[in-house]
Amino acid sequence: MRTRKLDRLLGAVAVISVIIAWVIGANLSGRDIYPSLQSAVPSANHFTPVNGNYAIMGDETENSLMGYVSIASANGYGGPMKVAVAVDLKGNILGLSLVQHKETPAWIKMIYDSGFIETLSGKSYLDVFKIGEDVDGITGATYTSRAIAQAALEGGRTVAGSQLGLELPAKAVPQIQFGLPEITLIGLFAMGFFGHQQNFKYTKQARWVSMLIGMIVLGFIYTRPLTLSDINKFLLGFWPQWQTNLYWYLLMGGLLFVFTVDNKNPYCEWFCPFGAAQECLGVIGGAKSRSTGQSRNFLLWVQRGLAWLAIFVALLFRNPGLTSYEVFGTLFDLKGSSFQFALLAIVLIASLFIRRPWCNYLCPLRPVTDLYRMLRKWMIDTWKQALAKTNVSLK
Amino acid sequence: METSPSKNKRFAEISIVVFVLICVGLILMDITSIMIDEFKYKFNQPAVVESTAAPTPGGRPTYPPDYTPEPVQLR
Repeated sequence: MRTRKLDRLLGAVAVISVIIAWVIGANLSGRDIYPSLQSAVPSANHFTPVNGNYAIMGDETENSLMGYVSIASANGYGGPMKVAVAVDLKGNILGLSLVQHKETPAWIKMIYDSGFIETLSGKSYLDVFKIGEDVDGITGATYTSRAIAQAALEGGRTVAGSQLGLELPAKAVPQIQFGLPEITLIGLFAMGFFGHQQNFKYTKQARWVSMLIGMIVLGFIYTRPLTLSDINKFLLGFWPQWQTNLYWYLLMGGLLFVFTVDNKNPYCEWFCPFGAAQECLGVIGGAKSRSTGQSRNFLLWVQRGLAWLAIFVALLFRNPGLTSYEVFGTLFDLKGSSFQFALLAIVLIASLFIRRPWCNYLCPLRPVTDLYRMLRKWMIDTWKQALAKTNVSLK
Repeated sequence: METSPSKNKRFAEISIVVFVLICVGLILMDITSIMIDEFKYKFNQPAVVESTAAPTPGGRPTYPPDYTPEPVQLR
């Protein structure tokens, strides 16, 4: 009873501190825009605000108008990106510069190093800016390059339409992306649902099939495991365009629905790709669930503290991927820092002897699900108590 | 020589604590290095030439009737 009270108190403190981080982060997110404008058009002399855009002046005379800059937004992998899009008087792109983004710095470096931004210069507002058609995407930073191209399209057309009075082509309706990852995800949710039924005889087999499909399709082929970045995106309200990110909505919506209605975790034990990889290694090494005795509480609170810190910092900086410390991408995509490779190696070796060491002691998703379950139970208990009191007073 | 089950249990417990502490250390170092990169990126924005020119837009812009150009402070 005392432990439950302490849990609830700390849970409430965690929720309140995360809300405070959200509010502070939202108030600190503004920044000076002029350096980005200059970066988009280094030859400009100065900029003047005009109808929500910025006129680019070549020198100090009034006839030196070079074009306009529009600040356009699009959703990258980590959240919304703001891009300064400079357009000349014919509607062609003069230059681009990132004003604000939530991407991992390594991806942004990849974008800069690849010269992707320069390839968009010279393109017209009439172009479609579609990856794979008239724009080459950057492998490993697909979402980021797609968002920059989308922002370039939006910015170019904003200037062409509102400042230059040019006739704009019809806006393309985004196509709904529904493919193998989405089908697999729905199938895995369904398998988990039937596998959890009490009269289902083949739960163990179904779980292994589900884990292997999750590991191969969602892990090695598409690298789409659930990460802390997804949770942060959800909390920050950085919800991507549904037509092109249906997978994210299916995953987040499906998990929230099952947790709320059924109080069961359909993901971690059934189709988390990294969990499956650990279990496969566990079978090879004969891993067991080890008792942590007196250290149980210490380990539990270390895991919770780490998850809280990661969410708090991400919300404070309004950057969902900033503190996403999972090593999923390191395993499935072979991308990560030297620290992440070292961490991955240690976790994989430990998986040979301990059952799911990452999930049990380090994964930030477990504290998040624990907190969600505790809050759910707390609300149900409060509701029931209120209902009982009402009934007593009515009698 | 055989080790007692309680000693084995204690060894497993200590191994797990050591494993977790090493991993937490690596995670904190990783987060710190990412945040340093982030700060470096934010503070390494290109320098901007100081301009004292009064902004005088010309050419094609269409202004609202009540529009007056705002002085722009470039860093």
